[in-house]
Amino acid sequence: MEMCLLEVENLKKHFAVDKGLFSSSQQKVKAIDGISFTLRQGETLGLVGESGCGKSTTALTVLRLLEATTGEVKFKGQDIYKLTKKELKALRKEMQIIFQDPDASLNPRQTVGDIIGEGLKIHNLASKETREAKVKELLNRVGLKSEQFLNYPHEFSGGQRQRIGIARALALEPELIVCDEPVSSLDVSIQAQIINLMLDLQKEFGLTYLFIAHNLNLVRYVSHRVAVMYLGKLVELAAKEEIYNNPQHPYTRALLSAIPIADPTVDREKIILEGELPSPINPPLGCNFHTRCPETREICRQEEPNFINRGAEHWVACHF
Amino acid sequence: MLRKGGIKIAVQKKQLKNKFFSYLSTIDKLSLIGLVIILFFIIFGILAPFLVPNDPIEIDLTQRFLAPNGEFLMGTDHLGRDVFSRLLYGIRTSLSTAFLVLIFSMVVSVIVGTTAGYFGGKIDQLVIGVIDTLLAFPGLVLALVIAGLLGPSLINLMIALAVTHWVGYARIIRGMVMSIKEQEYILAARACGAGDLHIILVHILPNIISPVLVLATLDMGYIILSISGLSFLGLGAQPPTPEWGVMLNAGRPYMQLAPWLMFFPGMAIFLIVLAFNILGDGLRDIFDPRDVA
Amino acid sequence: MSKTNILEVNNLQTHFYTKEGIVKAVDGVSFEVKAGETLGIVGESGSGKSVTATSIMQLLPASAEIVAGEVDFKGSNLLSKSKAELQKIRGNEISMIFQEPMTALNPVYKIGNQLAEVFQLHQQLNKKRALKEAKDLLAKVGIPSPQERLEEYPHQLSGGMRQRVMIAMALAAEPQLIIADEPTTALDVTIQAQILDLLQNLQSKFGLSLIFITHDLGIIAEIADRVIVMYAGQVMESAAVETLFEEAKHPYTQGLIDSIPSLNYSRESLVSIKGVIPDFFELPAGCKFSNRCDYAIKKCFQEEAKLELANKGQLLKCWRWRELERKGLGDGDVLTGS
Repeated sequence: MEMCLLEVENLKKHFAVDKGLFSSSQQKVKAIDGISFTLRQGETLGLVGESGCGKSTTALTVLRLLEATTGEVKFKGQDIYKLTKKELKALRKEMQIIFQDPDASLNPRQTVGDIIGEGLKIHNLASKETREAKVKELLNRVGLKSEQFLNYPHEFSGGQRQRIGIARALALEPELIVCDEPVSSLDVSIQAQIINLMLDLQKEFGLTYLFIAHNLNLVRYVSHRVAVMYLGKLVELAAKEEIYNNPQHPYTRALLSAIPIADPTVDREKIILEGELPSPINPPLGCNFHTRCPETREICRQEEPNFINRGAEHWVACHF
Repeated sequence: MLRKGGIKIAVQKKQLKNKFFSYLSTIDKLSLIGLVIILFFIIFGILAPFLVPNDPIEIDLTQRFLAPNGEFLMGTDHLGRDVFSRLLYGIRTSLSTAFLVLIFSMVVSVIVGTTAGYFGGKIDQLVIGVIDTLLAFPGLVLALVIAGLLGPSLINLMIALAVTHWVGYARIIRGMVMSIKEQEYILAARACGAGDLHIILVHILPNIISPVLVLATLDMGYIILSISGLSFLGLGAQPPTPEWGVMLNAGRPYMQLAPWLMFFPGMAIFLIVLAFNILGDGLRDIFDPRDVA
Repeated sequence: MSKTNILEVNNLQTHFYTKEGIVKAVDGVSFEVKAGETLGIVGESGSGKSVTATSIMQLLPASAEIVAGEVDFKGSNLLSKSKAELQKIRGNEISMIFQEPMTALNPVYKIGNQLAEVFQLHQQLNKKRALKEAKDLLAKVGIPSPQERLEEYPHQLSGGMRQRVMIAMALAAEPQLIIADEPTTALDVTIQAQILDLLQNLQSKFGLSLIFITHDLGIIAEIADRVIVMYAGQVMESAAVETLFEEAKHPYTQGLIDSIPSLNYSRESLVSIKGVIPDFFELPAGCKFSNRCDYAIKKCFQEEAKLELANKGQLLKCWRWRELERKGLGDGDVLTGS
């Protein structure tokens, strides 16, 4: 149980942006700027943050679907950035991804059977007959009808399409699934169905999830531990109950208090953050949250806080 | 075992066929008329040797400038040849030439456009350089120059048209490939371990094929027009080859005396070009109701 | 504050004419908005909540038509007004805030000019005074350095700032009613909190009535006084906000509330509504929700229930609400989770 499946160490991804014809200096967007975390076998780590904080880039670089600038990503102790093309291809069976938008992540010209069976075909894991049988079994498992394997994605509703995406991720029997906002494009009543399915599958197959979302309620519901990201960096990471009951970082506190609560009788003091997310091209010096932090002091403008364990595996990047 | 597989394939084929027919059933009436006209032309072209009442190149000076009548449906020309027979044979020349030009342009542009769009970087910059240079020449003038250099003949005309024609497609295909490449299902395939070739064959090509077919259909009319136009100018098919442009040219001096010499080939060109255009428009509407690129 | 109705919608029906047939996007919707209150309209995609809004404003696309109903604004029916009269009311007395402000702002005009235009049109101010008013308004909606913002184009602003500009434009003519259609859906949570806070402040300051359309019950709980729940173009339940969250009686509303993870984070199993949101052409014959309802009986599939008045002004469209109320609908096993 306590085995580390994934270790991410000081991962960075910088994109170069052209400033234009007359500017000689090339600027960099620091989409992720040195994040480290681990993922234990069988657990769900929730990764939350607002748009532009780098959570989707994290999803892609952790799987090496996008090359990181520097850093290590160890899957079962092996740095996936040191693997050859062939070794990486073999490893892909063990780590899969579910995307946010089932519209864009399913090829409109492939049948559902071909979509789900694609990995099996690429890795030559099954004959045509067994592949078909396996696809039908997967379709049943995610709550669709096995007869539908010849249908095309547009013949399904949004929630059903996300089920197809889940079946595709399951086909290769992976250990790790990165879920990049898997339900945020779905209606509320459908979200619950998909989340239940994902939790059932986790139990059944012992899956490990990196669950990326902007909805803190959802993350609280599915995760064992939660990491909060701001402007390319992790600001807090702790066990779920710890982070929700005892948030240490001012950003986490603001984020938690900003969620609308579906109970009109609750009356609480909201922390409303001033201003907006600064541009990742020129992130603020010092602590990058100091421009919006309600508790900024002098040191915050000058020194960047380290990501420190405050005991009981509660990691925080804040001077106070 | 084998039998079972065979049946399954047959079933899948049947479904594909049904799909094709269901496509056709959604086509609008106007495009259907276009399709029917094109099919008529093709059938007449194929059956031309059996259908023609007279030899299209046999000269009979005793029967010059006969107006359309029971024996010569569309009259005769200045050398006494049967216009109807020449027109039917002209279908073969026009359609087969245009088709070859189209196939060549398609194959080259799909290969070049896909490579450039998919791999990007240096290859892309090189391809784009070549394309932009070629596009800077007016296509018809370039074709004129090539036909002039190589000498006027139908083959040289085809070469000239094909060389200038693939460029436009290549650029459009490159654009489509670049946008499809960014789709999440490409990422999903890579997450499954798919290589470049697999991605191109399974995910990219099937998604550009229908817009390319629409483009091709719309373009067929333009190619037919170019062929006739250049032949009219004497740069393509040479007399006595039965070709519509050549026929138009030959009939031009006698426009007042024997208007049918220009009317019928002109009509044929007009009809076939119009048919391809309305079919292309119709295909664009039905092929992908959900936009692809 | 007087609680007279500022808007009354009666049996509104809006149809879309599509290739596949007629879509009854709004199918007999009635509700009223009292002066100074916030009415929340909640529903999932395809519920007809946005079409209801655009029907009130009569900003429907060409393929749609209001086929029946009345929209009484301050006692006169908007549906029988001429185009010119409507134009006067739109923006002047009723204004609208959209989900994606980028599409609602004109990209080729400066923020200042777009805002000033409203003042020039509605209050006949000259350009200079209009710009001054525009600047003051931007400051009122919490935009920092408003003078500089006047000179900027919409694309130069962030999503949250653009939404503030939209709100400023909606306020410019000092309307009595604002219809906000998912105004925070495209925004991040911290920015959403800012905008909701702003809307509430402005509302109490100017005594506005607000129709707030959203799919997020959390926002409804925070901002609305009364709520109507829509499904497949119809009102399924309507109640005061406290009543709705405490004693929702319609199985659909109950399902929606239970699907929210925040109320039961036990990591057991979320309660979900079965099935998929049906296509408009596959709606069941009787109650529109019957094919997804756990409590549907034969009658539900055959006949549509009427909207009935329960206690506390709660309205319900369900054959079985009395029965289910006695039995305690789907309770206990779920909500005790945490």
